[in-house]
Amino acid sequence: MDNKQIRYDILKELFNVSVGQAASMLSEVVKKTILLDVPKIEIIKSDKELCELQTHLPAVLDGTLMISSITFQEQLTGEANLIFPAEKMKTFINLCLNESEQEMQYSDMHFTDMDFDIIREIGNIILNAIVGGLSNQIGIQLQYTLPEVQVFDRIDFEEDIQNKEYPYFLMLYITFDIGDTEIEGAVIVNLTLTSLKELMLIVTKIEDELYG
Amino acid sequence: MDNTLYDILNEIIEGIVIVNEGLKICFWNDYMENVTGLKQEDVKENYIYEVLPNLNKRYFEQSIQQIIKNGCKIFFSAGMHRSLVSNKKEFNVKISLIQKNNSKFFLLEFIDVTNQFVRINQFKEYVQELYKLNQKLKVKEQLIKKLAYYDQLTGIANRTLFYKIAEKLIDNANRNNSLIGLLFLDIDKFKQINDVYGHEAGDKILKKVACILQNYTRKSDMVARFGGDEFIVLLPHFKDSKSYKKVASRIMNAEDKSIYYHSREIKISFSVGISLYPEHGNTIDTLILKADQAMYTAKNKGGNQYCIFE
Amino acid sequence: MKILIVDDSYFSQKTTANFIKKFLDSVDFEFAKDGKEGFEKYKQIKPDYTFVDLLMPNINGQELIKLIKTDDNDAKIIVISADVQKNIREEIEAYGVLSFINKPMNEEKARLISELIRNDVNGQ
Repeated sequence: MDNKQIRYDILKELFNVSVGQAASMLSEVVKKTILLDVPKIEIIKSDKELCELQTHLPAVLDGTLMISSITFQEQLTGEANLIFPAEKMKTFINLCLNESEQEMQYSDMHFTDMDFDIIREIGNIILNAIVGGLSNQIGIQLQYTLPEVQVFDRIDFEEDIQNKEYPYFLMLYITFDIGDTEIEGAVIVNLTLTSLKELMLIVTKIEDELYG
Repeated sequence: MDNTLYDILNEIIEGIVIVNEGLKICFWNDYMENVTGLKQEDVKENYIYEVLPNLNKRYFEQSIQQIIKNGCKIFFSAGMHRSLVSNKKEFNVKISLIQKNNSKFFLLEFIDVTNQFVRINQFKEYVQELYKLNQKLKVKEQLIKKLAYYDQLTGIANRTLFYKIAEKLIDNANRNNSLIGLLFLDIDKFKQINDVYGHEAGDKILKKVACILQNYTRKSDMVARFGGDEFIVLLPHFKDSKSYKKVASRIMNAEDKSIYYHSREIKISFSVGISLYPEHGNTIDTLILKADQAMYTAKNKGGNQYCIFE
Repeated sequence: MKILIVDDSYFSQKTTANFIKKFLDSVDFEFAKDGKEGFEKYKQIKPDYTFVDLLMPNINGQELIKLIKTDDNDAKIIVISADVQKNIREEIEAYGVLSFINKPMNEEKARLISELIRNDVNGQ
């Protein structure tokens, strides 16, 4: 394993622990066991080319997307976005509200304020666990907001995220299995160059300690 | 904390509760008193779980731990946490950390979304009603379509549907260079039968003929009642001009060409004229006209036979 | 004493080993990166204690625990997992594992496990 692989492995494991935390919170609130998959991560440099992100966003994330975002600052500056397909979120919301599919005879893809609030709570759980968990494990302090929830078309989202000033994306792919519904999603952490360097510096330090 | 600050918190039109690190209530504003009917002096120093028993204890505790660890804010949505405060109202809850002189407090804000819930439920009921109405309309629409396109007596296509489909079939044949045969059928001596046996017997004969035509043609052929005692059969996808003869003789030689009316057998016979696309014409009207002429030739020869247009 | 650590993260393998080393002397560590390799190494070296992560590719931790327990019902297994759901924990504990530790590993948790192992060894 070379140094780069080890650094990825460290990041992945840090995220893994955070996703585990998030799942525990989620299972508590939906009162169901959640089956987790091994998460994957990637670091992507944005070249202001649209095709770039496209190749990295999983194919399941198509059509209408539900995105919760938080911004954070202090030792690291950036933004974290949790992305799920809107359709799956609808199923998930119905699961949370204990509304069976039979009651919902029509396929209703409209999100009410109540739905948005549920997504905000879920987004908050997952993003807190991931961003908070990460900062906690690597021993840094971050200030961050409650999530904003938006519905995007995939294409608009790609443009939106690439138009921001963050040149690096940390992509984290997550899969939850809740009550027979598989929800594949991604977390995109956008970082400034300084912040990515800072993060990798901390990771390198952790790596050195492994042999220390 | 400053008393002025408490006064301010009492003026706010949302529920404000402050608990200490041990999750015991330190402050409970007037709004909370109004909503729950519990006075501050009665709940002070009590565990938040005891006062708000619908709070999911494990989840709440995990959230509090997260707040302490990460300094984040926590949001509970009214959708997932029902009847947190009272059975009559629904609240979103936001929890944040307040640090003062080394002690930690948690600020719980309760935001009333009951009206939202009511509106959403009304909306959902409304949508459900619309959905049901829509389903009903769809059924009606189908019925209307059936009435508009099918002959009520025999259940086969009427003249309107025949024209609609015939034009498409001719377009297709034109594109694929295939042939179409048109059979124009008229029941022999139908008027006399009607006069002798009555309209009821006539109707029975019309139904029988429709039935024979359907039984002795392919699924892709089109059988229509053109009007009165006239029927048309359209035979698309023919490979050569001989094949129509097979269909015509099959219909002519049908075994069950009779009905029973008041225990009396009435024999049915008909005359058929045939025209071919594209040999005899390019439009459906021309084809009908020529098949009609061929049918008269058959009648003039004594009926109960078929003739091709010449 | 032989300890086998089965974890798909190299970082996690090393961290666990490093922390345990601080509290237990003369331990030989063996590592495996998934349940499949883990079971092969288990059969090969017959470790005194096996540390198992739950979320792993190929054969996951839960399957591995089943395999090991079928081979030797008295096998000593310590679960170190990022999946900290109550239900999952209860399900895994039903297999009769020695302990269930939540990730991330830290000095305090390592001390507790080491003590547990020491008591277990002395008790035999």
